[in-house]
Amino acid sequence: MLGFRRSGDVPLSSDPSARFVPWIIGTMVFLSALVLAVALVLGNAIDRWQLSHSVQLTVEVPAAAAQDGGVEVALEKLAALPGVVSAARVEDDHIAALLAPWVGEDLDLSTLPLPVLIDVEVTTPGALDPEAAERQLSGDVPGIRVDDGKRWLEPVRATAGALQAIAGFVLFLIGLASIATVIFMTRTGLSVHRDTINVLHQVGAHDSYVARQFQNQALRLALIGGIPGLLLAGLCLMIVRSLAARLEAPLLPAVSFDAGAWILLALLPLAAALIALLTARITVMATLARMP
Amino acid sequence: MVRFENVGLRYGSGPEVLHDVDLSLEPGSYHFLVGPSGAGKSSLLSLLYLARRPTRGLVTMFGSDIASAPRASLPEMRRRIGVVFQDYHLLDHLTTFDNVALPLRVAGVGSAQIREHVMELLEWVGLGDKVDVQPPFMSGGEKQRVAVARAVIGQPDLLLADEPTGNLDQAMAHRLMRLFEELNRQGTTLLIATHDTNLPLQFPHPVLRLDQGQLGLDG
Repeated sequence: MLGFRRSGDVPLSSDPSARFVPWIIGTMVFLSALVLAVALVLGNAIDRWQLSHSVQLTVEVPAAAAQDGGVEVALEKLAALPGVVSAARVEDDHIAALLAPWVGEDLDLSTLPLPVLIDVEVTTPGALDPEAAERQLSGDVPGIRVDDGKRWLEPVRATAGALQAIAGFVLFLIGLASIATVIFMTRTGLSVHRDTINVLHQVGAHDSYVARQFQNQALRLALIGGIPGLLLAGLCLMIVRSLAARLEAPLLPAVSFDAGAWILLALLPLAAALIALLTARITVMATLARMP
Repeated sequence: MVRFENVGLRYGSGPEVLHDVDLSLEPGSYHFLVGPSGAGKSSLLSLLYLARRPTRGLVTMFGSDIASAPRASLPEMRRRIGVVFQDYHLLDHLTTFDNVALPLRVAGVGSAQIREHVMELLEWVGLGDKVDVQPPFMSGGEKQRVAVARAVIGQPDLLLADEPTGNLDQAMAHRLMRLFEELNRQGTTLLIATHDTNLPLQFPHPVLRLDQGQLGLDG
Protein backbone atom coordinates (compact mmCIF):
# COMPACT_ATOMS: atom_id res chain seq x y z
CA MET A 1 0.00 0.00 0.00
CA LEU A 2 1.35 3.40 -0.93
CA GLY A 3 0.17 5.39 2.03
CA PHE A 4 -3.45 5.59 1.04
CA ARG A 5 -4.81 4.40 4.36
CA ARG A 6 -6.92 7.18 5.80
CA SER A 7 -7.35 7.91 9.46
CA GLY A 8 -9.19 10.95 10.77
CA ASP A 9 -7.29 14.22 10.49
CA VAL A 10 -7.91 14.75 14.20
CA PRO A 11 -6.89 11.57 16.11
CA LEU A 12 -10.00 11.47 18.30
CA SER A 13 -10.24 7.69 18.44
CA SER A 14 -7.24 7.57 20.79
CA ASP A 15 -8.82 9.98 23.30
CA PRO A 16 -9.78 8.68 26.74
CA SER A 17 -13.32 9.90 26.06
CA ALA A 18 -13.57 7.39 23.21
CA ARG A 19 -13.53 4.69 25.89
CA PHE A 20 -16.02 6.03 28.44
CA VAL A 21 -18.58 7.86 26.27
CA PRO A 22 -20.08 4.69 24.72
CA TRP A 23 -20.69 3.35 28.24
CA ILE A 24 -22.43 6.56 29.27
CA ILE A 25 -24.52 6.81 26.12
CA GLY A 26 -25.35 3.10 26.38
CA THR A 27 -26.57 3.57 29.94
CA MET A 28 -28.60 6.63 28.90
CA VAL A 29 -30.26 4.73 26.06
CA PHE A 30 -30.94 1.77 28.37
CA LEU A 31 -32.61 4.04 30.95
CA SER A 32 -34.46 6.01 28.27
CA ALA A 33 -35.86 2.80 26.78
CA LEU A 34 -37.15 1.63 30.16
CA VAL A 35 -38.66 5.01 31.02
CA LEU A 36 -40.22 5.32 27.57
CA ALA A 37 -41.63 1.80 27.92
CA VAL A 38 -43.23 2.76 31.24
CA ALA A 39 -44.72 5.87 29.65
CA LEU A 40 -46.09 3.84 26.75
CA VAL A 41 -47.59 1.19 29.05
CA LEU A 42 -49.26 3.89 31.14
CA GLY A 43 -50.55 5.58 28.01
CA ASN A 44 -52.05 2.29 26.81
CA ALA A 45 -53.62 1.70 30.20
CA ILE A 46 -55.19 5.16 30.30
CA ASP A 47 -56.66 4.61 26.84
CA ARG A 48 -57.93 1.14 27.78
CA TRP A 49 -59.59 2.32 30.99
CA GLN A 50 -61.21 5.15 29.13
CA LEU A 51 -62.57 2.90 26.37
CA SER A 52 -63.75 -0.04 28.47
CA HIS A 53 -65.79 2.06 30.83
CA SER A 54 -67.09 4.59 28.43
CA VAL A 55 -70.25 2.72 27.35
CA GLN A 56 -70.72 0.46 30.37
CA LEU A 57 -72.25 1.17 33.76
CA THR A 58 -72.91 -0.97 36.78
CA VAL A 59 -76.10 -0.69 38.82
CA GLU A 60 -76.07 -2.02 42.36
CA VAL A 61 -79.38 -2.99 44.00
CA PRO A 62 -79.03 -3.50 47.80
CA ALA A 63 -79.91 -6.97 49.09
CA ALA A 64 -82.93 -5.67 51.01
CA ALA A 65 -84.39 -3.89 47.97
CA ALA A 66 -83.67 -6.94 45.79
CA GLN A 67 -85.79 -9.10 48.06
CA ASP A 68 -88.69 -6.64 47.58
CA GLY A 69 -88.62 -6.98 43.79
CA GLY A 70 -86.30 -4.04 43.32
CA VAL A 71 -84.25 -5.80 40.62
CA GLU A 72 -87.21 -6.22 38.26
CA VAL A 73 -88.27 -2.60 38.83
CA ALA A 74 -84.76 -1.36 38.23
CA LEU A 75 -84.43 -3.40 35.01
CA GLU A 76 -87.74 -2.09 33.75
CA LYS A 77 -86.91 1.55 34.58
CA LEU A 78 -83.39 1.30 33.18
CA ALA A 79 -84.62 -0.14 29.87
CA ALA A 80 -86.90 2.85 29.52
CA LEU A 81 -84.16 5.42 30.02
CA PRO A 82 -82.92 7.22 26.86
CA GLY A 83 -79.48 6.10 25.68
CA VAL A 84 -79.66 2.67 27.27
CA VAL A 85 -78.97 -0.20 24.87
CA SER A 86 -79.35 -3.05 27.32
CA ALA A 87 -79.66 -3.78 31.03
CA ALA A 88 -79.05 -7.31 32.31
CA ARG A 89 -78.73 -8.84 35.75
CA VAL A 90 -75.31 -10.32 36.51
CA GLU A 91 -76.08 -13.97 37.21
CA ASP A 92 -75.24 -15.51 40.56
CA ASP A 93 -72.95 -18.04 38.88
CA HIS A 94 -70.85 -15.22 37.47
CA ILE A 95 -70.70 -13.44 40.83
CA ALA A 96 -69.78 -16.73 42.52
CA ALA A 97 -66.97 -17.20 40.03
CA LEU A 98 -65.74 -13.65 40.68
CA LEU A 99 -65.81 -14.19 44.46
CA ALA A 100 -64.41 -17.72 44.42
CA PRO A 101 -60.77 -16.68 44.87
CA TRP A 102 -61.69 -15.00 48.19
CA VAL A 103 -64.59 -17.02 49.61
CA GLY A 104 -64.11 -20.46 48.03
CA GLU A 105 -66.22 -22.35 45.53
CA ASP A 106 -68.57 -24.19 47.87
CA LEU A 107 -70.21 -21.20 49.47
CA ASP A 108 -73.96 -20.73 48.98
CA LEU A 109 -74.34 -17.08 47.96
CA SER A 110 -77.98 -16.99 49.07
CA THR A 111 -76.74 -17.05 52.67
CA LEU A 112 -74.94 -13.73 52.16
CA PRO A 113 -76.67 -10.32 51.96
CA LEU A 114 -74.99 -9.50 48.65
CA PRO A 115 -76.31 -6.70 46.45
CA VAL A 116 -77.53 -7.65 42.99
CA LEU A 117 -75.54 -6.20 40.10
CA ILE A 118 -76.96 -5.07 36.77
CA ASP A 119 -74.76 -4.49 33.71
CA VAL A 120 -75.95 -1.54 31.65
CA GLU A 121 -74.73 -0.71 28.19
CA VAL A 122 -75.36 2.73 26.73
CA THR A 123 -75.20 3.94 23.13
CA THR A 124 -72.29 6.36 23.51
CA PRO A 125 -69.99 7.46 26.31
CA GLY A 126 -71.88 9.92 28.52
CA ALA A 127 -75.27 8.95 27.06
CA LEU A 128 -76.50 8.30 30.60
CA ASP A 129 -75.77 10.58 33.55
CA PRO A 130 -75.22 8.12 36.45
CA GLU A 131 -76.14 10.62 39.14
CA ALA A 132 -79.36 11.66 37.41
CA ALA A 133 -80.29 8.01 36.79
CA GLU A 134 -79.57 7.18 40.42
CA ARG A 135 -81.87 9.99 41.61
CA GLN A 136 -84.55 8.87 39.22
CA LEU A 137 -84.42 5.22 40.31
CA SER A 138 -83.94 5.70 44.04
CA GLY A 139 -87.63 6.58 44.50
CA ASP A 140 -88.64 3.09 43.40
CA VAL A 141 -85.54 1.20 44.58
CA PRO A 142 -84.17 2.64 47.82
CA GLY A 143 -80.37 2.56 48.14
CA ILE A 144 -79.78 1.85 44.45
CA ARG A 145 -76.38 2.97 43.07
CA VAL A 146 -75.47 3.71 39.46
CA ASP A 147 -71.73 3.68 38.83
CA ASP A 148 -69.89 4.38 35.58
CA GLY A 149 -66.47 3.72 37.13
CA LYS A 150 -65.47 7.37 37.17
CA ARG A 151 -65.56 7.55 40.95
CA TRP A 152 -62.61 5.23 41.35
CA LEU A 153 -61.13 5.43 37.86
CA GLU A 154 -60.51 9.17 37.80
CA PRO A 155 -57.90 9.13 40.60
CA VAL A 156 -56.23 6.11 39.00
CA ARG A 157 -56.10 7.84 35.63
CA ALA A 158 -54.82 11.03 37.25
CA THR A 159 -52.05 9.07 38.97
CA ALA A 160 -51.14 7.30 35.74
CA GLY A 161 -51.08 10.65 33.93
CA ALA A 162 -48.79 12.13 36.58
CA LEU A 163 -46.47 9.14 36.32
CA GLN A 164 -46.43 9.59 32.57
CA ALA A 165 -45.47 13.25 32.97
CA ILE A 166 -42.70 12.28 35.39
CA ALA A 167 -41.45 9.72 32.87
CA GLY A 168 -41.33 12.45 30.24
CA PHE A 169 -39.37 14.69 32.60
CA VAL A 170 -36.92 11.87 33.35
CA LEU A 171 -36.43 11.38 29.60
CA PHE A 172 -35.74 15.11 29.30
CA LEU A 173 -33.16 14.93 32.11
CA ILE A 174 -31.49 11.92 30.47
CA GLY A 175 -31.31 13.91 27.24
CA LEU A 176 -29.72 16.85 29.06
CA ALA A 177 -27.18 14.58 30.75
CA SER A 178 -26.29 13.04 27.37
CA ILE A 179 -25.84 16.49 25.83
CA ALA A 180 -23.63 17.57 28.76
CA THR A 181 -21.50 14.45 28.30
CA VAL A 182 -20.98 15.13 24.61
CA ILE A 183 -20.18 18.81 25.26
CA PHE A 184 -17.57 17.78 27.84
CA MET A 185 -16.08 15.18 25.48
CA THR A 186 -15.96 17.65 22.59
CA ARG A 187 -14.42 20.47 24.61
CA THR A 188 -11.80 18.10 25.96
CA GLY A 189 -11.04 16.97 22.42
CA LEU A 190 -10.76 20.56 21.20
CA SER A 191 -8.32 21.33 23.98
CA VAL A 192 -6.21 18.19 23.55
CA HIS A 193 -6.02 18.56 19.76
CA ARG A 194 -5.57 22.33 19.59
CA ASP A 195 -2.27 22.05 17.67
CA THR A 196 -3.80 19.70 15.11
CA ILE A 197 -6.75 22.04 14.63
CA ASN A 198 -4.34 24.96 14.14
CA VAL A 199 -2.61 23.00 11.37
CA LEU A 200 -5.94 22.21 9.73
CA HIS A 201 -6.90 25.87 9.83
CA GLN A 202 -3.47 26.78 8.49
CA VAL A 203 -3.89 24.62 5.40
CA GLY A 204 -7.27 26.20 4.72
CA ALA A 205 -9.81 24.05 6.55
CA HIS A 206 -13.14 25.68 7.32
CA ASP A 207 -14.55 25.30 10.84
CA SER A 208 -17.14 22.93 9.40
CA TYR A 209 -14.34 20.60 8.22
CA VAL A 210 -12.98 20.44 11.78
CA ALA A 211 -16.50 20.07 13.18
CA ARG A 212 -17.11 17.12 10.86
CA GLN A 213 -14.24 15.23 12.50
CA PHE A 214 -15.81 15.68 15.93
CA GLN A 215 -19.42 15.07 14.92
CA ASN A 216 -18.51 11.83 13.11
CA GLN A 217 -16.68 10.63 16.20
CA ALA A 218 -19.65 11.55 18.45
CA LEU A 219 -22.03 9.75 16.08
CA ARG A 220 -19.85 6.63 16.07
CA LEU A 221 -19.44 6.53 19.86
CA ALA A 222 -23.17 7.11 20.44
CA LEU A 223 -24.07 4.22 18.15
CA ILE A 224 -21.43 1.95 19.70
CA GLY A 225 -22.98 2.59 23.12
CA GLY A 226 -26.60 3.11 22.16
CA ILE A 227 -27.30 -0.09 20.25
CA PRO A 228 -26.18 -2.46 23.04
CA GLY A 229 -28.03 -0.25 25.53
CA LEU A 230 -31.24 -0.68 23.54
CA LEU A 231 -30.75 -4.45 23.16
CA LEU A 232 -30.26 -4.80 26.91
CA ALA A 233 -33.38 -2.73 27.58
CA GLY A 234 -35.32 -4.86 25.09
CA LEU A 235 -34.24 -8.00 26.94
CA CYS A 236 -35.37 -6.51 30.27
CA LEU A 237 -38.74 -5.54 28.79
CA MET A 238 -39.26 -9.06 27.42
CA ILE A 239 -38.58 -10.50 30.87
CA VAL A 240 -40.97 -8.03 32.53
CA ARG A 241 -43.63 -8.77 29.91
CA SER A 242 -43.24 -12.48 30.46
CA LEU A 243 -43.56 -12.07 34.25
CA ALA A 244 -46.51 -9.68 33.94
CA ALA A 245 -48.38 -12.11 31.69
CA ARG A 246 -48.57 -14.55 34.62
CA LEU A 247 -50.27 -12.03 36.89
CA GLU A 248 -54.03 -12.29 37.22
CA ALA A 249 -54.70 -8.63 37.80
CA PRO A 250 -57.01 -7.30 35.09
CA LEU A 251 -56.78 -3.70 36.26
CA LEU A 252 -52.98 -3.55 36.12
CA PRO A 253 -51.65 -2.04 32.90
CA ALA A 254 -50.81 -4.67 30.29
CA VAL A 255 -47.09 -4.77 29.47
CA SER A 256 -47.46 -5.03 25.73
CA PHE A 257 -46.30 -2.89 22.85
CA ASP A 258 -47.66 -2.46 19.38
CA ALA A 259 -45.44 -2.07 16.31
CA GLY A 260 -45.40 1.71 16.68
CA ALA A 261 -44.10 1.45 20.24
CA TRP A 262 -41.33 -0.96 19.23
CA ILE A 263 -40.33 1.38 16.40
CA LEU A 264 -40.26 4.29 18.86
CA LEU A 265 -37.99 2.29 21.17
CA ALA A 266 -35.78 1.22 18.28
CA LEU A 267 -35.32 4.87 17.29
CA LEU A 268 -33.75 5.72 20.66
CA PRO A 269 -30.12 4.91 19.71
CA LEU A 270 -30.58 6.83 16.48
CA ALA A 271 -32.01 9.77 18.41
CA ALA A 272 -29.07 9.58 20.83
CA ALA A 273 -26.64 9.47 17.89
CA LEU A 274 -28.33 12.44 16.22
CA ILE A 275 -28.28 14.45 19.46
CA ALA A 276 -24.58 13.58 19.93
CA LEU A 277 -23.78 14.60 16.37
CA LEU A 278 -25.58 17.93 16.59
CA THR A 279 -24.20 18.70 20.05
CA ALA A 280 -20.63 18.01 18.92
CA ARG A 281 -21.06 20.13 15.81
CA ILE A 282 -22.61 23.08 17.65
CA THR A 283 -19.94 22.90 20.38
CA VAL A 284 -17.07 22.88 17.86
CA MET A 285 -18.53 25.65 15.72
CA ALA A 286 -19.22 27.85 18.76
CA THR A 287 -15.73 27.28 20.19
CA LEU A 288 -13.87 27.84 16.91
CA ALA A 289 -15.87 30.98 16.20
CA ARG A 290 -14.04 32.61 19.11
CA MET A 291 -10.65 31.97 17.46
CA PRO A 292 -8.91 34.69 15.38
CA MET B 1 -0.53 41.02 -2.92
CA VAL B 2 0.56 41.88 0.63
CA ARG B 3 0.58 45.34 2.14
CA PHE B 4 1.29 46.32 5.75
CA GLU B 5 0.89 49.93 6.88
CA ASN B 6 1.89 51.02 10.40
CA VAL B 7 1.19 47.54 11.69
CA GLY B 8 1.58 46.80 15.37
CA LEU B 9 1.12 43.51 17.20
CA ARG B 10 0.99 42.68 20.87
CA TYR B 11 0.02 39.50 22.69
CA GLY B 12 -2.71 40.16 25.22
CA SER B 13 -1.77 43.13 27.37
CA GLY B 14 1.98 42.57 26.88
CA PRO B 15 4.39 44.93 25.08
CA GLU B 16 4.25 45.42 21.33
CA VAL B 17 6.37 42.85 19.50
CA LEU B 18 5.99 44.56 16.14
CA HIS B 19 5.95 48.34 15.78
CA ASP B 20 4.93 50.42 12.79
CA VAL B 21 5.76 47.73 10.25
CA ASP B 22 5.40 48.82 6.64
CA LEU B 23 5.74 46.04 4.11
CA SER B 24 4.76 45.47 0.52
CA LEU B 25 5.15 42.16 -1.30
CA GLU B 26 4.33 42.46 -4.96
CA PRO B 27 3.09 39.40 -6.87
CA GLY B 28 6.06 37.29 -7.99
CA SER B 29 8.52 38.95 -5.62
CA TYR B 30 11.11 37.06 -3.58
CA HIS B 31 12.46 38.34 -0.26
CA PHE B 32 14.55 37.03 2.56
CA LEU B 33 13.62 38.02 6.11
CA VAL B 34 16.53 38.13 8.52
CA GLY B 35 16.98 39.24 12.09
CA PRO B 36 18.24 38.02 15.45
CA SER B 37 16.24 35.62 17.61
CA GLY B 38 13.36 37.40 19.32
CA ALA B 39 13.29 40.17 16.71
CA GLY B 40 9.70 39.30 15.80
CA LYS B 41 10.18 37.18 12.65
CA SER B 42 7.73 34.50 13.79
CA SER B 43 5.20 37.14 14.81
CA LEU B 44 5.47 38.83 11.43
CA LEU B 45 5.07 35.49 9.69
CA SER B 46 2.02 34.65 11.85
CA LEU B 47 0.36 37.83 10.56
CA LEU B 48 1.25 36.84 7.03
CA TYR B 49 -0.18 33.33 7.29
CA LEU B 50 -3.30 34.73 8.96
CA ALA B 51 -2.93 33.01 12.32
CA ARG B 52 -3.34 36.43 13.94
CA ARG B 53 -4.84 39.78 13.18
CA PRO B 54 -2.88 42.97 13.79
CA THR B 55 -3.44 44.95 16.98
CA ARG B 56 -3.25 48.12 14.95
CA GLY B 57 -2.49 49.29 11.45
CA LEU B 58 -3.65 48.04 8.10
CA VAL B 59 -2.93 44.58 6.68
CA THR B 60 -4.18 43.97 3.16
CA MET B 61 -3.77 40.54 1.59
CA PHE B 62 -5.12 39.46 -1.78
CA GLY B 63 -7.07 42.71 -1.83
CA SER B 64 -8.85 42.18 1.52
CA ASP B 65 -8.43 44.15 4.71
CA ILE B 66 -7.54 41.42 7.20
CA ALA B 67 -8.65 43.33 10.30
CA SER B 68 -12.23 43.53 9.08
CA ALA B 69 -12.38 40.39 6.91
CA PRO B 70 -15.07 37.98 8.09
CA ARG B 71 -13.68 34.84 9.69
CA ALA B 72 -15.39 32.65 7.10
CA SER B 73 -13.31 34.24 4.33
CA LEU B 74 -9.95 33.37 5.91
CA PRO B 75 -9.77 29.67 4.91
CA GLU B 76 -9.95 30.55 1.21
CA MET B 77 -7.13 33.07 1.68
CA ARG B 78 -5.06 30.57 3.69
CA ARG B 79 -5.31 28.10 0.83
CA ARG B 80 -3.39 30.63 -1.25
CA ILE B 81 -0.59 30.65 1.32
CA GLY B 82 1.92 27.84 1.83
CA VAL B 83 3.87 27.79 5.06
CA VAL B 84 6.99 25.85 6.03
CA PHE B 85 7.28 26.03 9.79
CA GLN B 86 10.59 25.84 11.59
CA ASP B 87 9.26 22.99 13.76
CA TYR B 88 7.37 21.47 10.81
CA HIS B 89 3.85 21.33 12.40
CA LEU B 90 3.28 17.88 10.92
CA LEU B 91 0.47 15.67 12.23
CA ASP B 92 2.20 12.75 13.92
CA HIS B 93 -0.70 10.31 13.51
CA LEU B 94 -0.79 10.74 9.73
CA THR B 95 1.55 9.18 7.20
CA THR B 96 3.82 11.23 4.99
CA PHE B 97 1.31 10.83 2.19
CA ASP B 98 -1.61 12.08 4.28
CA ASN B 99 0.37 14.98 5.73
CA VAL B 100 1.27 16.21 2.27
CA ALA B 101 -2.24 15.56 0.97
CA LEU B 102 -3.87 17.59 3.76
CA PRO B 103 -4.18 20.95 1.94
CA LEU B 104 -5.72 19.26 -1.10
CA ARG B 105 -8.08 17.19 1.02
CA VAL B 106 -9.47 20.17 2.94
CA ALA B 107 -9.90 21.94 -0.41
CA GLY B 108 -12.06 19.04 -1.62
CA VAL B 109 -9.73 17.79 -4.38
CA GLY B 110 -10.56 14.29 -5.66
CA SER B 111 -8.57 11.35 -4.32
CA ALA B 112 -7.15 10.30 -7.72
CA GLN B 113 -5.80 13.77 -8.34
CA ILE B 114 -4.44 13.95 -4.79
CA ARG B 115 -2.62 10.64 -5.26
CA GLU B 116 -1.06 11.73 -8.51
CA HIS B 117 0.16 15.11 -7.25
CA VAL B 118 1.36 13.89 -3.86
CA MET B 119 3.29 10.94 -5.26
CA GLU B 120 4.95 13.14 -7.87
CA LEU B 121 5.99 15.69 -5.27
CA LEU B 122 7.20 13.08 -2.77
CA GLU B 123 9.37 11.53 -5.46
CA TRP B 124 10.78 14.96 -6.23
CA VAL B 125 11.73 15.68 -2.60
CA GLY B 126 13.24 12.21 -2.29
CA LEU B 127 10.59 10.70 -0.06
CA GLY B 128 9.05 8.30 -2.54
CA ASP B 129 9.94 5.39 -0.28
CA LYS B 130 8.54 7.03 2.86
CA VAL B 131 4.90 7.53 1.93
CA ASP B 132 3.66 5.21 4.66
CA VAL B 133 5.96 6.46 7.39
CA GLN B 134 4.72 8.69 10.19
CA PRO B 135 6.72 11.75 11.32
CA PRO B 136 7.87 10.28 14.66
CA PHE B 137 9.83 7.70 12.67
CA MET B 138 11.56 10.20 10.38
CA SER B 139 14.74 12.25 10.68
CA GLY B 140 14.65 16.04 11.01
CA GLY B 141 15.64 16.47 7.39
CA GLU B 142 12.90 14.13 6.20
CA LYS B 143 10.29 15.97 8.27
CA GLN B 144 11.51 19.24 6.79
CA ARG B 145 11.00 17.88 3.29
CA VAL B 146 7.49 16.67 4.19
CA ALA B 147 6.74 20.15 5.53
CA VAL B 148 8.01 21.74 2.32
CA ALA B 149 6.00 19.32 0.19
CA ARG B 150 2.84 20.11 2.16
CA ALA B 151 3.47 23.85 1.77
CA VAL B 152 3.83 23.73 -2.01
CA ILE B 153 1.36 20.96 -2.93
CA GLY B 154 -1.47 23.46 -3.39
CA GLN B 155 0.64 25.70 -5.67
CA PRO B 156 0.19 28.69 -3.37
CA ASP B 157 0.36 32.31 -4.51
CA LEU B 158 2.41 33.18 -1.44
CA LEU B 159 4.98 30.87 0.13
CA LEU B 160 6.34 31.62 3.59
CA ALA B 161 9.19 29.58 5.01
CA ASP B 162 10.71 29.81 8.46
CA GLU B 163 14.28 28.44 8.39
CA PRO B 164 13.42 25.97 5.61
CA THR B 165 16.99 24.72 5.19
CA GLY B 166 17.83 24.51 8.89
CA ASN B 167 17.70 20.73 9.11
CA LEU B 168 18.82 19.82 5.61
CA ASP B 169 22.23 18.79 4.33
CA GLN B 170 23.88 21.10 1.87
CA ALA B 171 22.82 19.19 -1.24
CA MET B 172 19.17 18.95 -0.18
CA ALA B 173 19.17 22.59 0.96
CA HIS B 174 20.46 23.66 -2.43
CA ARG B 175 17.87 21.51 -4.18
CA LEU B 176 15.14 23.03 -2.04
CA MET B 177 16.27 26.56 -2.77
CA ARG B 178 16.20 25.72 -6.48
CA LEU B 179 12.63 24.52 -6.04
CA PHE B 180 11.79 27.87 -4.45
CA GLU B 181 13.48 29.65 -7.37
CA GLU B 182 11.43 27.60 -9.81
CA LEU B 183 8.19 28.33 -7.92
CA ASN B 184 9.10 32.02 -7.96
CA ARG B 185 9.71 31.89 -11.70
CA GLN B 186 6.24 30.44 -12.08
CA GLY B 187 4.80 33.43 -10.22
CA THR B 188 4.77 32.39 -6.56
CA THR B 189 5.60 35.18 -4.15
CA LEU B 190 8.20 34.08 -1.59
CA LEU B 191 9.33 35.25 1.82
CA ILE B 192 12.04 33.15 3.43
CA ALA B 193 12.94 33.80 7.07
CA THR B 194 16.46 32.61 7.77
CA HIS B 195 19.49 32.89 10.02
CA ASP B 196 21.72 31.62 7.22
CA THR B 197 23.58 34.67 5.95
CA ASN B 198 24.88 32.70 2.98
CA LEU B 199 21.46 32.15 1.45
CA PRO B 200 20.96 35.78 0.34
CA LEU B 201 24.45 35.66 -1.11
CA GLN B 202 23.80 32.47 -3.09
CA PHE B 203 20.35 33.53 -4.19
CA PRO B 204 20.38 37.28 -4.60
CA HIS B 205 17.00 38.67 -3.61
CA PRO B 206 16.02 41.68 -1.48
CA VAL B 207 16.58 41.23 2.24
CA LEU B 208 14.16 42.54 4.85
CA ARG B 209 15.74 42.99 8.26
CA LEU B 210 13.67 42.83 11.41
CA ASP B 211 15.18 44.15 14.59
CA GLN B 212 13.36 44.73 17.88
CA GLY B 213 10.02 44.57 16.15
CA GLN B 214 10.88 47.11 13.44
CA LEU B 215 11.31 46.26 9.79
CA GLY B 216 13.82 47.71 7.35
CA LEU B 217 15.21 46.87 3.92
CA ASP B 218 18.90 45.85 3.76
CA GLY B 219 21.19 47.47 1.25
